[in-house]
Amino acid sequence: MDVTDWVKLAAFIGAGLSMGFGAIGSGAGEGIVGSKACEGMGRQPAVADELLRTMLVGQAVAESTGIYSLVVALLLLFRDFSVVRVIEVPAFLAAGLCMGLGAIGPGVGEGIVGGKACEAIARNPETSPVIVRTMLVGQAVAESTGIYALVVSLLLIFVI
Amino acid sequence: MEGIGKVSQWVFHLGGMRIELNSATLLMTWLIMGLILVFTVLATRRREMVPGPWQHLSELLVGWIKDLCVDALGEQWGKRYYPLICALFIFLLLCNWIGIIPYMDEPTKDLNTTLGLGIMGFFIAHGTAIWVKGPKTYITEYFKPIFFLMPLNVVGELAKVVSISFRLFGNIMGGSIIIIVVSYLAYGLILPPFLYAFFGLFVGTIQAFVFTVLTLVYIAVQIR
Amino acid sequence: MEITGADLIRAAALLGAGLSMGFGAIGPGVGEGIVGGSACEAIGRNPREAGLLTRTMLVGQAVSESTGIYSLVVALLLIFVV
Repeated sequence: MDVTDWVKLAAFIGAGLSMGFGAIGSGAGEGIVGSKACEGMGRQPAVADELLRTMLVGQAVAESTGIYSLVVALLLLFRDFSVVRVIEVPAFLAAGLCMGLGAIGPGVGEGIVGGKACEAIARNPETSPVIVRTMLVGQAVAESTGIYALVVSLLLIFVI
Repeated sequence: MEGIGKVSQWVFHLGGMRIELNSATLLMTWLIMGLILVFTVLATRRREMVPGPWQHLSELLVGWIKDLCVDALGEQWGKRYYPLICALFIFLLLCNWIGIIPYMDEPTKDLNTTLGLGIMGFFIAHGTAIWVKGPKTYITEYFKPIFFLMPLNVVGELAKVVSISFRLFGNIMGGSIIIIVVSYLAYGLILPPFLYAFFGLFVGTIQAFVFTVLTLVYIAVQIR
Repeated sequence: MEITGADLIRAAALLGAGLSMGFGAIGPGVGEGIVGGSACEAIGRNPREAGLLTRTMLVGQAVSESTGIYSLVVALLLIFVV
């Protein structure tokens, strides 16, 4: 095996790790949002439209770290392997691990925020604008560690 | 795929110093400032009791942000700061939306823009704190609750700048990378427009709003 | 192709950077999510205190994020300094 093969091996394993681990958090988080929305609809069918809207927005935001994992995986998969260096082997493995593991926490956390927001809207539908505002801010802050993982991954892929 | 991670730069030398300017970011920032000026002229040109469409739009936007500011900062400080917050929101909104036009780049895709805005928010918040509380109270607050927690408090304040600017940068950068990659893979007309709508309009709006609200709340935390 | 000790150290530093930021992001992500969720719940119960609750939420999240910031700093040090 020469250097190109090793770099390809590292990039493909890294892509798998990134998307595989990264899907855990987003999946669990979106599930939490959906379940809380169903619970709220069962309790308060009158606000079903409002709950559905909040659920979809909350899930779309909770999905973002999963999308970043996909970004890193695609970048690793469709790289140009004509010019390679040995140092790219650990860098690509680390990039995949970093984004994959880093997406777990924010995904679950954003899901918790979205779920609780759906619960609160079902209990008190008049305050839904304030709750949606708080939900978006809370989710954005919970996402920041996922963004750091993305930044470190991109550094490992492009700057090394 | 070649466009990822590349920055177009103007480089020139001035007395032995190498000066690099990110050309796309600069051009787009000036373009957006021009757009905001045009919008302002359109909105305030003919002010009437029965507002026209531009005046109506701007009144809606300004009134909504003024309510947010008064809500967070109180009557006196809210009225003083809402023009700043309003300008920040409109600027970021246009910055994040302009990427959906072909051949245009988001200035917020460049860390320099977001870090600059984050540092601006930091200085405004802390300047307000010194103004309201006086320098002595301001400094003693860093030694609360126990004196040896001072380094952690300082790191916490600096971390706010890092997190607020990296969040905006990372979201817009991630969106633009995935649009480039998917366009390269699909060559299609169906998928990329949807991605533009999701990342440009939806994520862009949410992130502009979040950046504005966080700047506002950081000021509010320092005042109270 | 010759792999020297310096190459191995560089490789270990890069892997360490990835692991540091990857694992370091899990805890703050979940923790900040719990804070944000409870804030939404409390606003639903007592909407009049929304301003106070939002401020408290952001302060709590900023504190729980600090370990994530430390991970980022360590990762950047491992990439650029070591």
